[in-house]
Amino acid sequence: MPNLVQIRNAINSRLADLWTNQIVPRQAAYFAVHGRYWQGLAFNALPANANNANPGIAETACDHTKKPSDQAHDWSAAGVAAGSTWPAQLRVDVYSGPLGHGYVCVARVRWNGSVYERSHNMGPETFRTQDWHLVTEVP
Amino acid sequence: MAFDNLKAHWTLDEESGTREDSIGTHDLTDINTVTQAAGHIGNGASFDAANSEALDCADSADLSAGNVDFEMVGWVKFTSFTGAPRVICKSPGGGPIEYELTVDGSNRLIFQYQDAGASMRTVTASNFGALSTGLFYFFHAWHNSSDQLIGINVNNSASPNTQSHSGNPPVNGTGRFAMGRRSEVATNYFSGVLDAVSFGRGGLMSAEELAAVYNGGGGQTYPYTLNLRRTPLYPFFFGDKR
Repeated sequence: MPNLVQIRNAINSRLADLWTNQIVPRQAAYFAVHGRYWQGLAFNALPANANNANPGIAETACDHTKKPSDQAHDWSAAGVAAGSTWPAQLRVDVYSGPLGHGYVCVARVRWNGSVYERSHNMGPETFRTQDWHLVTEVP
Repeated sequence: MAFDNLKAHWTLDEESGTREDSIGTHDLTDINTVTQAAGHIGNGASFDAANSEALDCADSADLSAGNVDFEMVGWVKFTSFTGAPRVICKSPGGGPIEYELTVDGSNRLIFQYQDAGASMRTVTASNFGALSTGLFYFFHAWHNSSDQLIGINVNNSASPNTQSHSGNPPVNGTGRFAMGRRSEVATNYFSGVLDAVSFGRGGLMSAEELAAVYNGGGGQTYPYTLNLRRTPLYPFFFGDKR
């Protein structure tokens, strides 16, 4: 089983590339046209890295047609080419608050039964950027 | 004065974007485009769990729990009960949950929190019973610090449910306040409409105040007033010089 650092590093690497080369430029273009940022619903199941003999990092298949009911553009139509599988469950939330508009890319992964998450914000609500942390699941 | 302890009120009348606080500065950020729908009083905020929609704002002393009196009232209409939807919640990502308004597996409204020992303390609106989809309900959930209990009532009934917490009160945490999902953890999204939500802290509304807000089921727009009898003027019309 890969350890947590290996999993985080793998996701961070994929996320950095996607963020810089896909999400940020596409969001800028989308906002210029639509006056709001594009929302990306989670397009894959939560990858679970279980305590087993599998030496690789789990990835789940991406469905690029996922989109909210009040938005016309899915991942493909928005021009975000994220690949066919991902080692983290990925979503892009958008917000509109007192300080203005922004968006947040959130990555989640399960490792050894626990869920970990990191998020990266673009916009005025800077607190929405958070480094990897454990997501406590309560009933 | 009446309604002195209310710290925030959201009419939720807005079409989209920021939902303004009519009392304080706790304006709510719109996450993933909460839309507008017919409310119980004017318009309300319409949430779609499938779109991960929610409203939230920063932690504040006004909206925090702790071993103090606090309460929330408002109108809620569910379109679905699946996924243990959180109507109102305040918790950091790592817990403890300061408070949550949600439903149980029997579609009854519940109010709960995690105490300092991380034990969940829950009160269920069992006297009112199961809710139905498509109908607006008036909710009132509260913590009474002196009596060491939490309570919940639906439609201002004469039979609220209360539960002693035996000296294990809610905690005052740092998590964000949210409507429509479990705050910060971003799970348990709500599908339905919320309208005219108020939050009070440092005291609880009296029965008279609650009756005025409920207004026989019709509700009342903010700022709330008591239904006072209008008697001061007529004696003068009849020359009464008392």
